[in-house]
Amino acid sequence: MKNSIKLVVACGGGIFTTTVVTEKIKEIMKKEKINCSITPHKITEIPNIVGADIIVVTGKTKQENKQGIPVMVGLPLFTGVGADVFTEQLVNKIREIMEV
Amino acid sequence: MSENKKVTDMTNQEICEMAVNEECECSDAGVVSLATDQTMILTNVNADSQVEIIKILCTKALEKGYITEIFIEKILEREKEFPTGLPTAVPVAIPHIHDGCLKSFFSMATLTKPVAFESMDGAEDDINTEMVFLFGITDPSQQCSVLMKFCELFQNEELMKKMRVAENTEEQIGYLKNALGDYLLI
Repeated sequence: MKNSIKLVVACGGGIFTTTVVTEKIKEIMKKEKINCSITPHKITEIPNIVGADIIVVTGKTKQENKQGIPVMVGLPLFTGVGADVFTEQLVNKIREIMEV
Repeated sequence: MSENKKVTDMTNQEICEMAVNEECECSDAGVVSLATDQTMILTNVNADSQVEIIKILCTKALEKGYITEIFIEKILEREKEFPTGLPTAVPVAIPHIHDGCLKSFFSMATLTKPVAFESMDGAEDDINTEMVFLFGITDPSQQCSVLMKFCELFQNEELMKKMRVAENTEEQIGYLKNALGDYLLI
């Protein structure tokens, strides 16, 4: 059982959508009372990221993480289209990871 | 694997970024804005491709001294690799980069006919956009609040529909002031 979660948020350049989606996730985690740390990355770095529990990307990628860290596409948090569904999926996934 | 081991596995750069990010709460000190002006808010532009509209907007930023030539080269490269079309209710594209950006700015154009951009999430269908917002951002940790404002704007279907058919720059600036308030530095 983990008491906090380490997230990575990644987009093409690590600028615009990363900044916004990081804030959105902070809000969600606050609401769900989940302790978290969030690290920005670029999408190209996804395969080699270590030490994170979950990766949320906002841009297109077919890359997988070499350590098997789950990768979720979080663009709905930026566009608002499908944001509720994504939020639920993200929270469920995080709770699942934390229970291990 | 224990928590401690995981942290030691991280590179110094990663730990550094993490520390920086912890400080990036959206309550940035004061209002940090993005520069723009009348010459960078364009309406009814006729462009045949995404390259053409990106170049038109970049030329305005170059004239103002906000970017160097390298910005144009990099932003076009970036769009091919990481496209910026958004599947919002009113579809838009938001090309942006920091390479070659000397002063943070935003510019935009409405188009007389839609121009196709690939979707940011890699979805198969292209985004046919009639509005393009182009940004140069020097330091996102300082510009968090203004970027959040733009995100809200893109989700504001009612306002975006008005902006799509704005007849001139003056009308468009009125809508932008409404959406961005003090964050519009003009």
